[in-house]
Amino acid sequence: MIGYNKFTLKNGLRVIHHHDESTPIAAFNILYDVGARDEDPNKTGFAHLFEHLMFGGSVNIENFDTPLQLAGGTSNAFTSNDITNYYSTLPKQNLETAFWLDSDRLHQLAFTPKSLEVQRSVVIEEFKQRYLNQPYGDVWLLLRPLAYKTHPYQWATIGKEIKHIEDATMEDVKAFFYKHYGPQNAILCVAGDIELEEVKSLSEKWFGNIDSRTKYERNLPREPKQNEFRELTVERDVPNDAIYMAFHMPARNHKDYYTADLISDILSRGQSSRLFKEYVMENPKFSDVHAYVSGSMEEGLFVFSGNPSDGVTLEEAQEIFWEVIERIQTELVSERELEKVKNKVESSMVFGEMSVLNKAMSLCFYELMGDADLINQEANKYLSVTREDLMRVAKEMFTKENCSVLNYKSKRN
Amino acid sequence: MNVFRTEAPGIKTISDVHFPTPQEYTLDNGIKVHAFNLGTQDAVQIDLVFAVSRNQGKNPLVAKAVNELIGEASIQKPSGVLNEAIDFHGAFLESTYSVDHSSVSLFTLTKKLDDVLPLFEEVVLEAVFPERELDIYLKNAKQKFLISQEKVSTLVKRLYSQKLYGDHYYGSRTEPNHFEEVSVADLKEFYENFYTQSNCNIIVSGKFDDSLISGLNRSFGKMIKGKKSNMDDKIFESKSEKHFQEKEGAIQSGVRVGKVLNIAYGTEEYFQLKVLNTILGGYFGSRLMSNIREDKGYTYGIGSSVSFLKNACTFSIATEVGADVTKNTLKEIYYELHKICNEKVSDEELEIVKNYMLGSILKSSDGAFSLAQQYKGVYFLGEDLTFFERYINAISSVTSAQLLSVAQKFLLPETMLEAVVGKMSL
Repeated sequence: MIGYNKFTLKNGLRVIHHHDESTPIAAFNILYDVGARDEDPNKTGFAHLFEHLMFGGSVNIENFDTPLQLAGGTSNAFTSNDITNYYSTLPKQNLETAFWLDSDRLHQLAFTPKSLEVQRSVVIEEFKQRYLNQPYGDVWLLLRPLAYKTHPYQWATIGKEIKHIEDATMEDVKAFFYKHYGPQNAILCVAGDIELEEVKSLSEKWFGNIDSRTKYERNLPREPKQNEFRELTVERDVPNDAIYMAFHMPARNHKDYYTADLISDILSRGQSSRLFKEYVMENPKFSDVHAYVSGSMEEGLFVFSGNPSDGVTLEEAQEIFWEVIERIQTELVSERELEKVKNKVESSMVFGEMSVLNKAMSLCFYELMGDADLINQEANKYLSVTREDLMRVAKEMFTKENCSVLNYKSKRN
Repeated sequence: MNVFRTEAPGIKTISDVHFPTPQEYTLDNGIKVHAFNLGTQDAVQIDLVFAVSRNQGKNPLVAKAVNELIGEASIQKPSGVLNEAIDFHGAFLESTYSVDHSSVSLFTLTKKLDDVLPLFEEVVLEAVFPERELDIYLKNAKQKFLISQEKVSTLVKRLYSQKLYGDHYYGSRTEPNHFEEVSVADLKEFYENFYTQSNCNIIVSGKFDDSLISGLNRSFGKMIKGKKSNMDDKIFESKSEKHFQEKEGAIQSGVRVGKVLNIAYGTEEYFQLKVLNTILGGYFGSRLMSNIREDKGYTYGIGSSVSFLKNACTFSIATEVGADVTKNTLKEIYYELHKICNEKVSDEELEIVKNYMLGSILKSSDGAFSLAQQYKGVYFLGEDLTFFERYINAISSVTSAQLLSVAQKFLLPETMLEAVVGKMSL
């Protein structure tokens, strides 16, 4: 049970306070309700590029990191398809520095041309390092547009192509800032050995006089129900074939999300999971095999992925996935197997709540989902999933018409 | 409310960080247990650390294979049964190995300890390596190995350590033929000799009561003596050479610049070198990051590190950069090395780095699990947590004149080894 307090400033900024007296470190986490899904289809990768620019100085502070480091702190951020999340940790006695820094960049960024020019290059190098200069690095650049035809989840956070990043202009940057970076579009969490009153007064002092901006109303095109089997085959210069099989699955706030997540655990969590035990060890067909959920806010993807062993074709690999699916659709999972994955969920939650920073990030995320208190309801949602639920959701989700397959073939075979 | 945004709030410098001493216990067979019982969550981590050099196997793959296969099967339970039992209780096993250590760790909720500890005992004391499981493991490991050989980051790491350490076992890496040359007997021999009392220390952290210590004694107090791994084979220097390996089709190059240093662990000079490294490439605001990423945009990231292993202390700069800017990046790396050896660090920069480092040390003292990891880092190099007191004092008192002389002693650009894999131009 994670205790917290919550209040909202007049300008719409939501603030969460979590008290943890066991640590000398304070976590300062600010989530903005904007992600790659909010981008213009012709200017993708922008939310993430923008995240880089948030470190390039604000109107009153030349450089974000220097004063934070001087205060003994450190900071970073990440962008997903759904959100952009900035976090700092610092000695608790210097907490106010984080308020000063983060409020100034929300107040107004510096918009320096040099920062835009440099961060464009940095992000292009990131694009190359993570997506292009890696074996199988472009999988998500291929799989997303195969599975999504309408919804903006069809592009990855890094963007569709390098050109979109090269083309970003200062005008775009400013427009994006004013559209998405208002106080009413943000959630702040301060966690540590800090009293509520202090968080209230610091929030009011540093964020209170930032004006509300026009509220961005998200109105994204819905992904129509997939009603055809899709298959894409590409050839690349990699040592082995690989297969990826994606199914549309329930949104993060849907009760069946938890069932789908447990299905992925049964199939692929730990060495005793079905895929590993049966198809890596007992009857070796894959050198590496996984099943996982994308966990996105809107309807996401349930993905099977595998590197077939030498001599196993992509067709056979796909056939194996369908066999695994058929079994979970037609045979009830044993009580013990379900209990096993529930026990795993319970312990990972405890291990996940170790640091104040993790707690602060989660509280912001659940608040965005609707209510910070969801953090304390999460375990029960997993525990209430039944064996029948697993079968039902597997039947609904794993159909041929809901499936997109990416065959990633080695040129060398 | 009026707020003066141009004025930074006041800050307090950290002068004092509390590193609690672990409780020490000795099991019946002499194994030392180091316990950090100060968790806030009802969870426990138990690390069994074996101080065993990788060169004790007939090739580097043996140590890795033993470590990765442990937990798969035991005398009593065939493949799949043992890890199902551990998974069932929501516990996790993690095994890691390095050139000097092999570890097996258990993560569990405190309330499950009674169920899980006997299973963990079985994992560590009763491991078997059946022929069939080993074959599958080797095939799969080879496939993963071949995939990793496509990455410039892997290739440059290999090239660099081969050239840096030469004939020393730190420089020998897994080669494709090793996958065909490893047998069950090799694994069994390595495991039976070295996953033993002579090489073992146990570190526990989290929230637990004394029954855990008696439980550990029941399980591991009977571990056989085995054979002490021979660890001492020190290296004090490396060659200053430049090596380039072209990789067809690469759009980025992996870059390493560094050397083996002749320096003693935990000395004033060592702490000063750590400060110098932080200034050069050890944090986001470092010179390498500021110049090569934040000014030039050549890379997504660049950093430097000082790592102290049992037999060598190594300084390394590492990055991946666009092929078209590989040469320019090298030029800037040498420029920064030259600068740090020739100009005093300004007071302003030194103050930032001192505060940043003290903040990081404070963070690393946060919580039982983090403390245990810090402790592991120093214990096997012959220190205890008083190391951090001296470290903090050295950071607080170091002057820019001292840093300059340390830089000239250890970081002269012409003494560096350079390794690049990728392309020198597009």
